[in-house]
Amino acid sequence: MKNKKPRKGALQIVGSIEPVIWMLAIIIITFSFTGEKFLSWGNTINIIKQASPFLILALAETMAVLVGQIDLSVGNNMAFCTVIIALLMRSGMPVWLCAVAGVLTGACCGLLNGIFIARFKVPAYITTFGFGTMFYGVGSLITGGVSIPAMEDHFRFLADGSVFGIPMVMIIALLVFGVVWLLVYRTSFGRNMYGLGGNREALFLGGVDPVKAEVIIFTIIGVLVGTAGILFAARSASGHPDYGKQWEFNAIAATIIGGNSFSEGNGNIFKTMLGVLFIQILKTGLNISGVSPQSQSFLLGLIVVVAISTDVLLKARKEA
Amino acid sequence: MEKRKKDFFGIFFETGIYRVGILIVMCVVMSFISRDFFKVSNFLNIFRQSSVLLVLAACTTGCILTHGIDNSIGGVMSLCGCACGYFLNHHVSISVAIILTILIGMSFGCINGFLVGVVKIPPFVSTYGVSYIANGLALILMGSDIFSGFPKEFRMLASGNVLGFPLITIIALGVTFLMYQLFQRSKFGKQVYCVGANYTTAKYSGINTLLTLFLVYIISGCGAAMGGILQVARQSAAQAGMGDTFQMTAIAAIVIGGTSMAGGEGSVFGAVIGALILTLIVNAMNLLGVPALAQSIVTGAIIVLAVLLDVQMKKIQAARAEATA
Repeated sequence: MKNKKPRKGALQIVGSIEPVIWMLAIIIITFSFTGEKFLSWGNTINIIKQASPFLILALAETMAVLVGQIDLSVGNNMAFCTVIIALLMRSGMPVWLCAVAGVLTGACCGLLNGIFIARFKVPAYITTFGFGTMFYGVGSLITGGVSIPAMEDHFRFLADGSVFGIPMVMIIALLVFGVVWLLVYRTSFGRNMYGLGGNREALFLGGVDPVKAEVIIFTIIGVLVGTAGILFAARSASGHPDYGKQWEFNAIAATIIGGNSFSEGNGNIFKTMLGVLFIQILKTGLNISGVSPQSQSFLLGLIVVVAISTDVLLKARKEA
Repeated sequence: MEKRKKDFFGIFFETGIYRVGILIVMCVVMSFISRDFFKVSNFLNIFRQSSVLLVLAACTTGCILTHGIDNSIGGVMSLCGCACGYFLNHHVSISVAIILTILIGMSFGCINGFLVGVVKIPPFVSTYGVSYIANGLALILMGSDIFSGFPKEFRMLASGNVLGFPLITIIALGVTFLMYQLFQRSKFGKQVYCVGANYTTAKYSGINTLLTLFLVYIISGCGAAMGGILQVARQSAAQAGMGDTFQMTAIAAIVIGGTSMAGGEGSVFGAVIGALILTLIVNAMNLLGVPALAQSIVTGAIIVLAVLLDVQMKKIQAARAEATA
């Protein structure tokens, strides 16, 4: 008995910290030994720049997970937005109008998803996959499968520029994060979101229309996807329907690694932020340490599985 | 017991036979539009094209019936295809290569079963992580290489004919029939439906839920391996990422066939219909000369609309059941 007590205490302490935090600590320490330039200022800025549009996309995915759904179309819809932005810019539209059009495109895609999921009760897995495929097709058809340049200087500034030494992308991403935070944690709408993920009937009895709420949430997801599209188009100075390849999976992976639960409709956008940082730092660190890109997918998968397993097992033990 | 009389529409809805109707309507419409459609050679072609999808969809139906999902079939299929190619190129005999490949697929199924059943991670997440691992292993094995130049006997799996019927289709139908026997006609199948309908109830009524989950995911992994082997034989080439497109298409085929993602409802037969519908669309678009870039628009739209129709039909069905009760 005497031996058992402190061990349980240690486990409890480890269990109370989100696994993503100690995993972040482990990889940062490891990479600072294996990669020479890993802890430099330049690399930090690089990681932040890469992670910013990714964060917005992952936030969109987290919103879907919060209401107990999944969005497999964020990547393709985002790429479709970059195509629209680039096409409009080529036709001589002012930059701000192109950006607005990009966000609106995203919102329309999201609205379509939302109507089919909430109103017609088509499973989100199928709806978002189907519409994602469709928008990918529309994007490839109107571009003919080639990338459309978007070289406007003001537009490039969004990705490359900095204000007082802070990268512009980071400012935008943090602004978006702040808005989402306010929406989720400081409004009644945000509380309804948790209700949608947890107990829909209770929500309905409480006088909220779950269908309407869900449609609005998917539209907001679309707006976020459109915003991410602006940053992606600015970063690569072009629009292409293939830009979204694998991004929905990265977004889902970030949401999962952050420790958001897919089953009970609970989640936290701060966890997602940590998940995004983790994946970006891991990728950059592996590149700097000279690990081949082929092995990275394997390592990422292994880490996802191990991290979630420990998380689930530790939580189960804590409850027991 | 009094046998309730069923009118035409009752049978129509309750057996889900209208999905066959959709298939027939599509065939009729196509044979009017395209002259090349209603030919024996084209139908054999459709069967050949649908075989891989058929195997994947039939074997993964079990996971969805237990209110799970296997997001790793695409990754495992890539890995198994590459492994099969690797074995064949390293002078392993064909039968041994096939057995080893299927064992790889089953072991990944085991990992999935362990994560879902023992560790109790939601299936969407755990199988998703496993797909990363499988995809990554395929990439490590292959890099950007493509394996080809397989023995002729192996390629016969896809190109061979038995009495004028494609061998690959016979294999696919054999696997599907096996799955039908397993899920619809055996005690194990009943247990799968019970676990999907209500896990707790199934557990307390004495079903070995853990074993059921394990078996279901192992079957799914086995199916992914067979799909990989058949696809390699069809393309006579193996490369990393070859299973990517099959992942979602297989799940879409199952759901189009009327299997509920909430578990406990659906059938292997539905998965067959779904796979045929999806293959028919691609075949029709090729015959009509729809440009490749535009094909994904139609495929995406059909997937959503087919499931939408299915959901609406189920609603009508439920309303009818309530009215007669």
